[in-house]
Amino acid sequence: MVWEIGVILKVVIIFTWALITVLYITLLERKESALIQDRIGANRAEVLGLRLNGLFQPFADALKMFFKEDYIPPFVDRPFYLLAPMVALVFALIPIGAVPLADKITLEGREFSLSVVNSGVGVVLILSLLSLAIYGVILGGYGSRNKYGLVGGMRATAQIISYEIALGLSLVGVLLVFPSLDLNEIVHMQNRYILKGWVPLWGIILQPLAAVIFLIAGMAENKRVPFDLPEGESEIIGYFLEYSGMKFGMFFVADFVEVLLLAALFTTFFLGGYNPPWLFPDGFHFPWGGSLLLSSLWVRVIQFITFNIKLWIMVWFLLLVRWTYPRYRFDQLMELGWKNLIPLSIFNIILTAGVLAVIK
Amino acid sequence: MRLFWEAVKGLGVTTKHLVRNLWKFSLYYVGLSKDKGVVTLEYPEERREAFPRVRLRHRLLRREDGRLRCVACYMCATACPSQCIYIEAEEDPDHPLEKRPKQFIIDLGKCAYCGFCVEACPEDALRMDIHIPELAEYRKDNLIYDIKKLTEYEEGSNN
Amino acid sequence: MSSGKRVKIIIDGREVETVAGTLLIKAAEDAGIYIPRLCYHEGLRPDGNCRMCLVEVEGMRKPVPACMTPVKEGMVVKTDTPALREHRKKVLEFILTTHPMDCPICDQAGECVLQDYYFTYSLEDRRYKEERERKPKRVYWGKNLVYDAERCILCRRCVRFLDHVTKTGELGVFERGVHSYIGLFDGRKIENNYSGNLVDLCPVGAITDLDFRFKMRVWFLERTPSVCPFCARGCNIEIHTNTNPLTNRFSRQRVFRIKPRKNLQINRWWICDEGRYSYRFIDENRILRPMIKGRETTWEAVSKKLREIIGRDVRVYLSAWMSNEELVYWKRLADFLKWKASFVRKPDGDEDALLRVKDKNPNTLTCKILGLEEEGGQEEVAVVFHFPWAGEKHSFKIGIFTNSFEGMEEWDLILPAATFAEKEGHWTNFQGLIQKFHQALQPLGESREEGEIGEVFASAFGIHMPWEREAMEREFEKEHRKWSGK
Repeated sequence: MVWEIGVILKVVIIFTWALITVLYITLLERKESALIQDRIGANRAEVLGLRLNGLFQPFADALKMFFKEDYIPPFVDRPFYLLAPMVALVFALIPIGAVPLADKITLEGREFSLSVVNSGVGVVLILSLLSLAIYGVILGGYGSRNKYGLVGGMRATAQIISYEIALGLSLVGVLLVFPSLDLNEIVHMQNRYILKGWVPLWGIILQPLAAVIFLIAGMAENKRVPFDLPEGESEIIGYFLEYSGMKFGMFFVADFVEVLLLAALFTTFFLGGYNPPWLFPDGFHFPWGGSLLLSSLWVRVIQFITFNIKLWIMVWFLLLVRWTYPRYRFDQLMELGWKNLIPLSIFNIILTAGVLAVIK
Repeated sequence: MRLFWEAVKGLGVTTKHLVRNLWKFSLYYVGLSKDKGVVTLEYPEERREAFPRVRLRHRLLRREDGRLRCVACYMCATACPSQCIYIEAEEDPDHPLEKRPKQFIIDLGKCAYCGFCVEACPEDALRMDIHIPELAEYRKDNLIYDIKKLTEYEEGSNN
Repeated sequence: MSSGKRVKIIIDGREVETVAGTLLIKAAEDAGIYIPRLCYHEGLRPDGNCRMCLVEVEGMRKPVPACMTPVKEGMVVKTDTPALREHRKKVLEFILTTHPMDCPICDQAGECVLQDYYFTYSLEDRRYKEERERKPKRVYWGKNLVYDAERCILCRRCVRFLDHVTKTGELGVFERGVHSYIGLFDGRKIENNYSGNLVDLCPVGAITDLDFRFKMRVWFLERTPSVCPFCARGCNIEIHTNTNPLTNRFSRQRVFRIKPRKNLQINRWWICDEGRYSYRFIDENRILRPMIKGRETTWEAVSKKLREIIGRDVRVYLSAWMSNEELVYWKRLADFLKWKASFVRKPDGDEDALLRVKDKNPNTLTCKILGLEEEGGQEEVAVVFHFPWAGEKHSFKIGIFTNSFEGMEEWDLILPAATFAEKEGHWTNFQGLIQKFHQALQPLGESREEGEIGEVFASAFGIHMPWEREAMEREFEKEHRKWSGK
């Protein structure tokens, strides 16, 4: 019984955590971009006279989205039009459920993972769900019955499909190094140390090339600057042209959910997941000899906090990239994907496989 | 590779701004520094002092005897490129200046704030120096300023 | 004039041939060389008091006033030398020492000769630092004239006009030197029938027109050449209108004033006050929509109503206010329908020696050329143009009128007609001269010109008779030639 309640609770808590994180990613985006451009950023939202420099802004934004007029143009293909934003949001959210936020615990004698889905093939699950997110885009463009929307949708499809190859291939290298499809296992395998225990064997150290490719391909998958051709809000007009109100809001949130997802995946694959350096199931064991023994619960709490810290660092970096570079042209985008990233990732696989073969 | 390096340098620029502004603004926010670090002016609370030559709302000036300086010569209406000044002249029977405006209307909704009317005015009767930028209205009708509105302004609001 | 001896003179290096005795200023103007002038006016006797028109003539020691110098064979004249330019500047500077410079208030601004000359010849700053001479302002001279002595440059055009053209002589110059001003002789008011011309004559804004005063700035006015309809003289006029809602926002007036147009054969430079101030009927009291028994209706309903008179005994009263083309068209329509046609006109008024004639209609002569008579009849149906009293004896009354009047509800059908300013056409004046008037305005409301109304009649009766102004014009020219015997 406790186990079942635990499952329900964990689902609720994890998705709540994810959505609140997403809300604050929007705030971070506004604030970070503002500071980069010598501005202050949104700081007007007020709760009980408290402004806290805009800490409540995401809630104000969300409320505004809810109360905006939700206008459905008369000419749209209604089923597809209504379906598209939901598809986009749902398939962006679900993969987050596969990401472990902390180590497994034991509840009523059974293993209880701290992720929504405890799948032995988490990597495959995430990749497959990621490919489904494309339906939100293409349906949105198609259902709008708008030329610009459709062209935007087609652009997005081409882009996402192209970069998915690089994304998947870059992960092959990682899977060669950490031979498991279970994300928990992958995290565990990163909790090893070399050079007298000083340097953790994180994915980014074993697979730097894969990390770069994954990051770039992931950003492209995200459809954000510098890869925001599908949207191109003010210039080239994208697939959600005909959307307004909460439906637009769902696309918008899906965007940020994907940022969160990318950051979470990168953390899991390349930054050692939820483990801070030198934390083992029984507590810290420092390379300089000291150790700090902790109870199992404290270890989980520290893991969760660590995961969040790593996540936010990644989010910060992703936003920094977004506010630094100008947009790619479409041909440049395709060139980067097909001529650079895919060959590089194949090269990375061959290299990794070769090195592994030599070592063994 | 060089391009990659340039890209990283770009990240450096943005990071530099981010860190500097974050530091300065945090100090300012907790009250440790007067330097805000950012250029934002938080408008309703903070106002930039208007530049002396800025052109905003019109006002009609009066002579020492309280009569409008305007003699309804139509120079402003003639000069106006948006044709938003409408005047009706009438005879002023008691004054040595025989002519005065019966109606003087500026449609600020059409006005381009170019200041030609002020320059054209031979009597220095019209100025655009009320430095209150809040001219927005919910109804276009409220943007049609007649003599009453054009002569009512807070003293001192023009500096 | 043309019979005089021809002489050749050289003005500014150009050989000009003219009649002996012509004034130099006129000879130059005819040759296209403009000599600035303030007191000289073609229609008045030269006075030579402003000294603006001084020119250099070879062999003369000092510059001579072009308006007082008749041409002489072999004269060599220079109108534009540095000395003359300097001289003009000085003349203007002297005038402007006492001029109030109240152009913003002055109605003349924009068509003021002094203003134009200042910008063309002077552009100098005022050096006169003393107190300006104060003189009477806003002096009412009777009828529509207001005099401002401060603006007056004492060119005496007004005095000369009253002395020599109307020969009434109400005005004189009083006081001396800088104190002098134009004034009425004791007990006199300017009440002659040509007083409005003083406003046109005045080169500055000293004499302004109460009727036009402060109504509209002159540069907003559109000028359309036309012909005065108020007597058979057919004086040439210019209708000054402003229909732009941006510059004419508050008044419903469209016509602001009537100005004379020079025509040496007919009215020379003048028009009478009757013609000048009677333009109000164009904008006021107009019939805007067709009316059946005093109730407004549409043009579609008019055709239906018109079919009621098919086969009945009809007399059509054409009017001496219709244009030649319209009269020809309506005559033809009446003949085709076997209607009896006659014409009506305004009763005769008074006349004088200068311009005004007894017949107060613009086109009586055409009616007569077309063989129409001024007569009434006992027919059942009357189609009446312009003059409601003509239809009194008839039982079924159709009227085509411009302005509303008492008793409109007694008329079975009233159609709104356009005024002369709202259509184009020709009139034949009492001398037999055909003159064109142009369209200055769009017809007010749903009013139509009489020719188009004729087309409505024709189509209501199922007759194909399109209103073609040019064809009618040619047809009338034929009639006119027959009449004049040429």
